[in-house]
Amino acid sequence: MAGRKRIVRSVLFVVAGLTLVTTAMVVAPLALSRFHIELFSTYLTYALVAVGLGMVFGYCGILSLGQFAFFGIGAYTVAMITSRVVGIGPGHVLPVVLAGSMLAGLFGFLLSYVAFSLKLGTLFILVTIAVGSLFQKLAIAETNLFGGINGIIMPYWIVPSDMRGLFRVFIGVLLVITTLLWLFVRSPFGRAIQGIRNKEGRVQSLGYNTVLLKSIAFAISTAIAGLGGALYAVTTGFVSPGVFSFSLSFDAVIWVVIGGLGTLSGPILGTLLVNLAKFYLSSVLLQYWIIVVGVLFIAFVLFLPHGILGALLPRRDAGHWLLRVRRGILEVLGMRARD
Amino acid sequence: MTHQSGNSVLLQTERLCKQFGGLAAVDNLSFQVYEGEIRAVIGPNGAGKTTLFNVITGHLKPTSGRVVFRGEDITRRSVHLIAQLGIARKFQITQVFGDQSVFDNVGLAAQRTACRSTWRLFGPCSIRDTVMDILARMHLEDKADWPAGLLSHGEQQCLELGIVLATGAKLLLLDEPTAGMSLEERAEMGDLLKDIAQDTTIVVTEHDFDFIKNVAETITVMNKGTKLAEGSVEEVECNQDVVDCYLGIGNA
Repeated sequence: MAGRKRIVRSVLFVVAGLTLVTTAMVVAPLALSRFHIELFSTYLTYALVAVGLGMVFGYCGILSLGQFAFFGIGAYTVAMITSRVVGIGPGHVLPVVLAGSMLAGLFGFLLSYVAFSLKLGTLFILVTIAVGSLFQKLAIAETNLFGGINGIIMPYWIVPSDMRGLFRVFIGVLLVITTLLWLFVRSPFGRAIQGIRNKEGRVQSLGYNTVLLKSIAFAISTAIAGLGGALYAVTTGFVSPGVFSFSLSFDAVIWVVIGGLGTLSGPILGTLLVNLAKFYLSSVLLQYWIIVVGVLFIAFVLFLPHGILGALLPRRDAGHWLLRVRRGILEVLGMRARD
Repeated sequence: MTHQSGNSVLLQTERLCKQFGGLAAVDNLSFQVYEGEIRAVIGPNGAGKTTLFNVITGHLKPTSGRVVFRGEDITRRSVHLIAQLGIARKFQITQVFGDQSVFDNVGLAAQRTACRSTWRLFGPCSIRDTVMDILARMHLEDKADWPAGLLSHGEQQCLELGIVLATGAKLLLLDEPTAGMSLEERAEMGDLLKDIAQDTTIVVTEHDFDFIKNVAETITVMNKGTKLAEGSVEEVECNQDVVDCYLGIGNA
């Protein structure tokens, strides 16, 4: 029975995942030097961005090439509050981080609600690119407010002395967020959103305010990206306009596709794989690294469109527009698409 | 199957016009649909039936005129608000979510009714019984777990009917529900509609006049965007104008 095979696969996956997570939480911090821990903690915050993007792109069909704009909002919020506002101390880290996340979510909601109300459709992708660029220029230009090109250095107490503990906290945060998203996509809201991905007009005719639903979903993804940025600020103690990087925003899509489009934990795998590979291989490959990534990305889209985890996990439905694009490309190349 | 006069007006259009450039797809159309009836809207291709439906459901905004539903002017409302007010549409081309199960297809519509506000959508919605009831009425309860794309065309049409039924709408607009169906399937669909009409109001457009004769109480005939004739099946069949413009109507 196909059902039983699915259950076995899911159980195996959960077991494998838990083993991995336990290993990561317990073993890795002990085995790594402080430099590595800081670096990998950064990758974990990137993974957070990827998870949010994976939800909004994989499940809702909304492609965003500007998630790091919201990562930056989260980072800068933390930086600005901790270094500018009087009376903020180590006990306030959590609320400040949450504030960064909320602000990113709010911006994301406002931006997408306006864009979707204007029926922008595919143009929305350009809007997301523009947002990142806009914030970056703003941060560079406004030296007094945002520290200009030099960024903001946060007070000493922001970065914890126990980096190993922070690493574990980040893994915990990733787990919690992924679980919450898992519940989210299975909720009635999540089902409606996935219906919108396939046939928005149809879902609208059923009485759903699709503009509102899409905006809420996008806001959730930007709030998660903002959370990543806020945690990044806590890790490094320093923010600069580079956090709004379009390059990273674009890379995030690659992480999601390689890791598993249409899965929730796939993006985490993709982020870690690509970034770790980059870290260890770029000294060998130098500037050719970017070619390797590009080729890898194209190969995945053409031959393994559901990514690594997507190929391993049971899939419930395949109706994503990226797959339609892929089929078109393969047709042009004279190849047949095997989903 | 006599027309229930004395029932309140559920939907009415007042001098409704929809122009596309120089072409009047709907031309000064005024008609009323009464609560609880089964109304057929027929006419040759291009008569404006689908445009009329599109204007009623808010997919198109009229050039002039009004659409009034249960006393409320819904002319310029958005699609989803009109749907929430109680008008459901079954489109001409089947648009089931092929990769989703039959149950989930109906469930998407049912959960909207069960969870009225957007915020309640975050929590669980108990719709299992409602959905299985509807599937049973559509004779699809055995295939509840099937991917909808695997159903036969006729079954997909029934599924679509189930979906609009699950919205709990007061008015169902059915655009050619028997398109592509065999004779037995058409008879089944006819029985289904008569069964459903006990709880709701139906407006159906069709080309199959035998089906219409079996199902509808009143017929509105459209031609070139205007109302050509309106009345019971016998009245319409004998109407010379109708016969003239709709040659072969008895043979459809």
